[in-house]
Amino acid sequence: MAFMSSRKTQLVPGPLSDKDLLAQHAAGDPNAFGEIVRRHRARMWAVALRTLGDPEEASDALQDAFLSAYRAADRFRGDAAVTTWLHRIVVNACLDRIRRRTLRPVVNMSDDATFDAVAPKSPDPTLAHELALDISDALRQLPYEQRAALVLVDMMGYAVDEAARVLEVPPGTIKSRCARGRARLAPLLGHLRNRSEGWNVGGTTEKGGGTPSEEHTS
Amino acid sequence: MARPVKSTHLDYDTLADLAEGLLDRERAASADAHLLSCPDCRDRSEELTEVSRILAEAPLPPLPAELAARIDAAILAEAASPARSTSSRRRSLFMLSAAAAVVVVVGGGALAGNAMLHSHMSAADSKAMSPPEGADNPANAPLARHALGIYPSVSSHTDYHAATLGPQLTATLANSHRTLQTLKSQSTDQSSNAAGGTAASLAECVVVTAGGVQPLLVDDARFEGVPATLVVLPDSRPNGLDVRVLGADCKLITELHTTR
Repeated sequence: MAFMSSRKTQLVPGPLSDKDLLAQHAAGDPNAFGEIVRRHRARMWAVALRTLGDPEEASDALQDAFLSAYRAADRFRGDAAVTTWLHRIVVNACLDRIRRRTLRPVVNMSDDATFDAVAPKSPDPTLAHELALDISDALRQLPYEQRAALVLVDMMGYAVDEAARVLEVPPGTIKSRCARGRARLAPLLGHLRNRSEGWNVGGTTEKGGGTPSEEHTS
Repeated sequence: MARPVKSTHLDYDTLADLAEGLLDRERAASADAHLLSCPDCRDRSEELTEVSRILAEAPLPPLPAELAARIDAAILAEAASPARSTSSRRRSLFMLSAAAAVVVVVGGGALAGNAMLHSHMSAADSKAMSPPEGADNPANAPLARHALGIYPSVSSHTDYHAATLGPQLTATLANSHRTLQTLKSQSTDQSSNAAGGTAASLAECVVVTAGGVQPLLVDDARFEGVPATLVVLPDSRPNGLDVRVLGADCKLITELHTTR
């Protein structure tokens, strides 16, 4: 028994890198890809949902993306980071959805399901929901390229160079798209800024991330 | 791109370009000079900074549990699809006729299967883990369960005997929930099983053995002292169990009926 367990300790490796997992998947390991999915799905979901603004579409895009990644894993070139590659696949899956969307009516953003999906749960759901919906609404008014750049750089916090690798454009293009996007969002989010200042009367100066108590909102 | 900057107010686009360093030196200097003397433009510049901050502080949307389960299911279905014919991957796949259920073995190395069950746990409650109760309740049994015929597979190390089969299986079934959770930490273990071969070949073996019925449990254990895999199916009686005992190479040793 002791022999078994010490042997087992040696056999069970530490956490594998994404690259190792992808290589194992390409070599036929049936478990490796599931681990990659589990590592990255939460972040990829955020990218897809924010890029598309519609939970149903984002769900489909995310599923498409992971299936594409599953199929394309043996064509993954080792010189890129797996996360970059995955982001690219997700963003491209979103773009495919947008192209297919042309004749579909715009989804009503006050729909309850959308409301719940776009806006995370928080101790004060009303404020968080409204904030998330306002941001989502505003983002939807941007051209896709600007939205994708802002989601990666401003929302997900990636460096410009990283976003450039994901979107396969020069860094200067990312900067330009971000600048255009911010310029368009400034008047759209202005009301949000003012209103969130209103929420914080007597409270902190922090906006957006804060959850002011009820006394402060009335 | 070429907007005049001189002496006029700076619009959002110009200010955003300035912040990103996209203006040429001359226009940047001119814009900076204007900002020094113009509170309105400074306000607008501040609004742009606010845009980035508002976006950065938006809370991450939580991944819906049912979506996690759906993606796991889609990937498992893809893994089992005959269209997947990459030679290096083929040996890990179990190819089945269109009519046959795809069976995912949980435990004994099937990490992907574990993922799905754990997603279920977060999606519904732990009842979904035990097939007899959970399978009939649509709320507790997400699509993947029906689509893929997932069953709990454990290695209980029980030495089953024909005379005590009912009570022994009752105990294993009662413990299988706990066992499944424990298996999570060992899920990279690729050990072979009594029926011989890998998790994938066992899955195929179970499909054939079960003949389309969803097993309540598959236990890689012993029977009358000999290594064996027990495929436990429901039978028509209340609490009835149809137990098929498999030896090496998926060979049927015996079939027994008992109750729990």
